[in-house]
Amino acid sequence: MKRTRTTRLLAGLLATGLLLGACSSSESSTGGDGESKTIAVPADQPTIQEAVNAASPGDLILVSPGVYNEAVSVETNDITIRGLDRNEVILDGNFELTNGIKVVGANGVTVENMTGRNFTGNSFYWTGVDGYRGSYLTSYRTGDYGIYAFDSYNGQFDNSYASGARDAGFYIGQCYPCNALIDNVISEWNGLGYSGTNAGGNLAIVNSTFRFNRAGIVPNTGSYELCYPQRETTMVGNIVHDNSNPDTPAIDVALLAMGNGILIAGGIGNVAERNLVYNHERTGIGVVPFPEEGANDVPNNDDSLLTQPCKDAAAPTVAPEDIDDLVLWSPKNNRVIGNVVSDSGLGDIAVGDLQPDLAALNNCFSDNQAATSAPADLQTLAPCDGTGSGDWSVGSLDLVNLIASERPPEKDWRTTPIPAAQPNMPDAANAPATPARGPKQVDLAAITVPSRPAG
Amino acid sequence: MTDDAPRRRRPSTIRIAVAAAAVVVVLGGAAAVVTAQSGSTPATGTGGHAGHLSATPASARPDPAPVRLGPQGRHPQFIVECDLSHTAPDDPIVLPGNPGASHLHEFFGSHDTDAFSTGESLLGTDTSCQNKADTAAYWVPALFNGDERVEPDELIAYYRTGVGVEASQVKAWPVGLNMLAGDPGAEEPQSTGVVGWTCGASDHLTVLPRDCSPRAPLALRLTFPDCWDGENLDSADHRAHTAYSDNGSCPGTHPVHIVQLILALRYDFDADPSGLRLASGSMITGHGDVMNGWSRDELEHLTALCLDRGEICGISSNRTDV
Repeated sequence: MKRTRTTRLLAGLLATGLLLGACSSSESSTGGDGESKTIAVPADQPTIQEAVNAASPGDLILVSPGVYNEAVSVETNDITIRGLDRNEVILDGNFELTNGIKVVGANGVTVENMTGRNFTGNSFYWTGVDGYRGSYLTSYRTGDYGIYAFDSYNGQFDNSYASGARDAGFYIGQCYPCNALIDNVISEWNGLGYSGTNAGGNLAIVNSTFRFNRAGIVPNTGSYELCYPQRETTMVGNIVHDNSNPDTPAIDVALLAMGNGILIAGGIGNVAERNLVYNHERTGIGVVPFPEEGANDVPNNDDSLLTQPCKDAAAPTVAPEDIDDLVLWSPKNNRVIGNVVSDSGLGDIAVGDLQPDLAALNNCFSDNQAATSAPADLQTLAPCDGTGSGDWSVGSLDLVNLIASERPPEKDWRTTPIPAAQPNMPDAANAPATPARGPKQVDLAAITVPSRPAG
Repeated sequence: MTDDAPRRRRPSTIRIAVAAAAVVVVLGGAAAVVTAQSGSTPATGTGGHAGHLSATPASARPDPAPVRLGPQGRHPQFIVECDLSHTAPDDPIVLPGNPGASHLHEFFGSHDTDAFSTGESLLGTDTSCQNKADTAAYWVPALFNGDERVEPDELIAYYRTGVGVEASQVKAWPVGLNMLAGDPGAEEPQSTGVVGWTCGASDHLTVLPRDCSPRAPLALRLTFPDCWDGENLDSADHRAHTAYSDNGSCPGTHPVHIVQLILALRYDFDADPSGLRLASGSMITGHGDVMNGWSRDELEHLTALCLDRGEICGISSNRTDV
């Protein structure tokens, strides 16, 4: 997209308020064939939805500070919706509206530099899109997720914050290969910090903080959505701590996962590397099965299907009446390397399953700083290079304690803490609008274990 | 909003024990399970339920195949989740203007629904649904375990295109459209393509409930007609103005493809189902009603945004409240 000098100038003036009240010119001053325009809210259009309705691909919607009681639907490709001030441009659902901004089947849409709160569903939501980006977003107090992409590809969430979601603060679901990035986000006081049901394939979660949730980072498998099993999420350089918080909202899966920092539940081929993980009631990094009741399908042991794109996933071939009442999705081929993990109740690093031959699952653990593990001496039992040795039965993971023990009930998502002001994006008034085409490249190898924050 | 009370939660304790779960209890042989036979004739008896007539012969209503809801994410849909609103012996479709004359119903959606409600009267009312524009009324007969009422935990309304139906053909419901799924007077097992019991989100639908577990408790699945005659908002038996599509086509008598509603009701119940009964009679009398009081603009918007464009606008998490 090409933005004109005029557009940039107008946007800059808008930011300083010089043109407020006389902005209709900004909408009409550009906009010839192939050119983009800037639509100011409320100067050009009184609501964000009306600005979206008036937008064409490539346009920038620039929203002035204010509280907008809107549920915005976006159907136009390649538009950018941006707040002039992240903390003062607020979409508020008043606990009545479902989603703040919902992008449905519109590719390349960027939403940035604003806050969504008090929605019964999600603050920011993309579904069925190719290309998405959410940057410098703040979400709090939501009934489902905070910042959410479903059945969507080539995306990025960065420099964003989510708290007070009953399910997960950040969620990427049902995609393979997702080709997506979560970078430099903070997720706290949610049921789950991150949930990634059946999502993976060039999906990286890096340089982010997950704290004070029921559980931190939880990629999981489940046949209630397509693209099972969950595969190939890479988690590197994150700070994951104190995810045993009894005072958050939580749905049942969050309660089930409570007290774990990084929990790979029934996932395959995930990598947790060089994360700093501490203070968890159960495991720091746990690799466990996902027990699914009321499942719609059963695991398929044909490994060739593990590289099958989601779009090619076949319908279940097993008749519903032939599916066991409880289906176990075992974790396989996961790699846990070079993490610094401490102060975990059941094991800093841990693996468990109901099938007795844990070695056959091919999960591996190497070069972690971990004082405890379950089973004991896990890095000798299952190294990532070479052959393991030892007795898997010594100090095995207490799955009953992990899954079956009581949890404190959830708290009301509508009364979770209001976050402090968050950093603004640079030069919101003038930065060019760029349609979302996919995640930026990240040099994963260059990421080191983060330092422990003060406090 | 006025209903700021927190949503009801299931008991906080998660009692699943992996050790027990590993010993998977196979329920397929449970004696109580009766699965409808393919091609069975839908029951049409009146069964002593005042106001229900069978004006349309069974042969005119093809027996729809069960709809597999999940895994979700394959079919265009939007969903609405609703808490229980209230419980009353009213039925504004079957017994309009006669408060207290019906068997006991569990009402979801508009909080204002009573025996005098119409689609128009529901517009703009407060609602128990997550989407506050959904001021329709949904109701089902109360469920009892012996003499104890089993309160439904949640209703999930899946709005979809009928199986095989071309998405762009689907029209939003007109305000005031009344529909029934299932027959409260049924004397024979009904098709699970219309009324089925299951556990959790499983697509294993049975005519009678089977044993369920705490994490996948008892659920009722109701599939509403997706073809309409294009003229009448109701009919004498409350069914004749609607029909089910067959292989993606609506019958000539009911040529208008409308949004298909599938209701999933979850009950906080995982005990022995042998003592269950419905307020309408035995467990084969499962049924549900909908009176369309949706915001006209919002229902048309969601139909155009999601169904007509073939998009998955939302899914149910298939996770139970806690």
